[in-house]
Amino acid sequence: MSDIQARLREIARRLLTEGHVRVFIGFGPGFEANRPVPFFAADPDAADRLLLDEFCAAGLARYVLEEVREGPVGLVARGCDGLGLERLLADHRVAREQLYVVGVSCRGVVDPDRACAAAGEEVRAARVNGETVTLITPTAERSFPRSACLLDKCLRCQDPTPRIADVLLGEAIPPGERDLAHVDAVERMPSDERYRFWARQFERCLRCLACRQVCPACNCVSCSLDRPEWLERGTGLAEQFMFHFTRAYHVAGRCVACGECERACPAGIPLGLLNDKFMKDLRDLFGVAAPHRPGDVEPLGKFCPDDPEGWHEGGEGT
Amino acid sequence: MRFLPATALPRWLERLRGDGATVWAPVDEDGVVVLRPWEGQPIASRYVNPLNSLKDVLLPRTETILEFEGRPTDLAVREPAPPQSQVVFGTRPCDAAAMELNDRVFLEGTFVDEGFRRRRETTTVLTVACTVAGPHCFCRAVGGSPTAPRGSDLVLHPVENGYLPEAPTSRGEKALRAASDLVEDVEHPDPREAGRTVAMPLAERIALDGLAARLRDHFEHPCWDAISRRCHSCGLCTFVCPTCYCFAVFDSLRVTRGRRQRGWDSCQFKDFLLMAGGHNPRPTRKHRVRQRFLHKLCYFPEAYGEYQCVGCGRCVAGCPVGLHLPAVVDELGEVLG
Ligand code: SF4
Ligand code: SF4
Ligand code: SF4
Ligand code: SF4
Ligand code: SF4
Repeated sequence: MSDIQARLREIARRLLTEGHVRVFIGFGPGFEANRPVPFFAADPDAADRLLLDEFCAAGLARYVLEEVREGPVGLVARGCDGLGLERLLADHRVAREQLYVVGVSCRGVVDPDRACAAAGEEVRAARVNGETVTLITPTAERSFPRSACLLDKCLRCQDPTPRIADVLLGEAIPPGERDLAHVDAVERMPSDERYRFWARQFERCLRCLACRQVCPACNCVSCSLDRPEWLERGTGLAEQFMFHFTRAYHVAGRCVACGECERACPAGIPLGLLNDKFMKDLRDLFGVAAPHRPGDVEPLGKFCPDDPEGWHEGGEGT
Repeated sequence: MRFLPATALPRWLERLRGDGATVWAPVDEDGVVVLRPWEGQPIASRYVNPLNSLKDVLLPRTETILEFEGRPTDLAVREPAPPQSQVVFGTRPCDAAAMELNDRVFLEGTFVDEGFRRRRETTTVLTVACTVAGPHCFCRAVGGSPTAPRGSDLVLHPVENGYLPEAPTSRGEKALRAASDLVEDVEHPDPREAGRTVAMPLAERIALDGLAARLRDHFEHPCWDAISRRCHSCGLCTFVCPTCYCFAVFDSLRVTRGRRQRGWDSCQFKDFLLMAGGHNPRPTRKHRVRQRFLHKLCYFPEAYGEYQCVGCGRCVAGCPVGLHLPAVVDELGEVLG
């Protein structure tokens, strides 16, 4: 990654020096060495603090929404960031010419807690090579399977390379087909059991809204989840179901499977599973090959004038 | 010294439950350890801190303040039933200490919060001391310890095959009486000492000395722009925090019946201070993030003489972008000296 990191810094420095962008969004050092944090380089010298390694976990697309208000924005984008940006573009929340996207192919991000559990001690550095991940600790260097080290969102990712880069650093990795088989197990549950499963998940919800705040599809100017006429503020089971159904339905067909909601959730609620259920239904009902890639056919994201059901102003039925 | 065998634990909790109390205990739910009303399910053993802190028990996510029925001109108002007694097992010393910080806010001074007081007085906190600290723990840096009794009614010090109970309050002593036939007498050195040797690397990295005064002098410091820029304005850090206590009051209505409730609110939400008429005194992330950290590290110490953080590590583990208390203290240390 270090060669790519050097080129990234060089490009960011040039963009900032020449005034093409007002800020360049990437990662910078965090408090813990294995938890880099989103970093906003606002002057050419700050570009030298940008870093890119196997621990850069947070999604960056969502930041663009606020940052473009003050001028054009440059950013580094992995596959998931790229899909997030595509979402914002398809929703007309930002314009393409406001963005300069430096694409990188991503082989998966190491979850420092999971890696620590696998290695038995603090992990200082890591290398992701295909199906194995080499973890470097103060005392050893050992390899583990991907599933023991990477973030959940990365284990299911099929879009390692962004599709909308202005420049791509390194090789492109071709996209794959999203595996939605994990939805089957929930679909097969008897309905009582399925209800209990989701009730148990949703009961844990703190309603902290981290899932919404990190989500590139949750880009509405005003959100129904903030409005008491749509969602009462209580945290009883009825409100919890209402909250989660509303969120899931509102991103259905627009979710790009970036996995940020699930990564952010402190309560370990399998939001990815819920999103993937909708994804699977979209695929099976509408024949959309990859419902999480914006710009392809969007069965729920677009109104067609020749829609057989027509348009009903004010919600009157036919 | 008294000794409670681990095998006697369910029987003891069952007796406390039999006395009519709701017993809370940490249970493993789909890989997440959560404090839940306990009805005999297996109690989690390997955890640092449950997802929800004692705050969830003493200042619930939502609670009813009053119920009403009728028309605006003819309204009957009822107080909800008083809280039932509760016993919380398995809380950690940091969370117990956090409740003493909340006591100061809700119970000290001229205004006493009745809802909080009633819950507090009917709740018995049975803490299990820590023998290991998690990677995110730093209680020692904020005056705590993995074996400290502050805020607990009973501290259970884990030893091989059981616990050594220490009862700082009469409520704790009373709870232990329900186990009098299960408890044995043993010889053992002071179990609190064990807390001194628990390794806690994070605590060593945090320097808080004199920070409150420096923050007061640098309210307008430009560092707040840089520090807050990555914040997503969610409520995660404040909702997981045992010492954050802000709440909102709201009504829910069903035609002629309704409830006035209060529930957690977060200073990190954009509309937290939004006024009727549209004015928002903390309109940007900078204002909100600064508020959170100044409250914990400056205003609270000025009012009560201690930081509003017990080092439980939940914000460290939880913030999706690493904007947690130790990180911010570190960044402030660099810019303010
Ligand atoms: S992030 Fe998790 S806990 Fe927070 S509101 Fe979303 S689902 Fe609930
Ligand atoms: S719902 Fe979750 S996975 Fe889908 S776009 Fe939003 S954050 Fe990403
Ligand atoms: S912060 Fe201290 S008291 Fe709290 S869980 Fe960690 S070691 Fe235990
Ligand atoms: S500091 Fe982190 S957890 Fe808190 S509001 Fe900001 S992003 Fe959310
Ligand atoms: S600020 Fe963070 S570490 Fe301190 S008590 Fe709150 S959640 Fe725990």
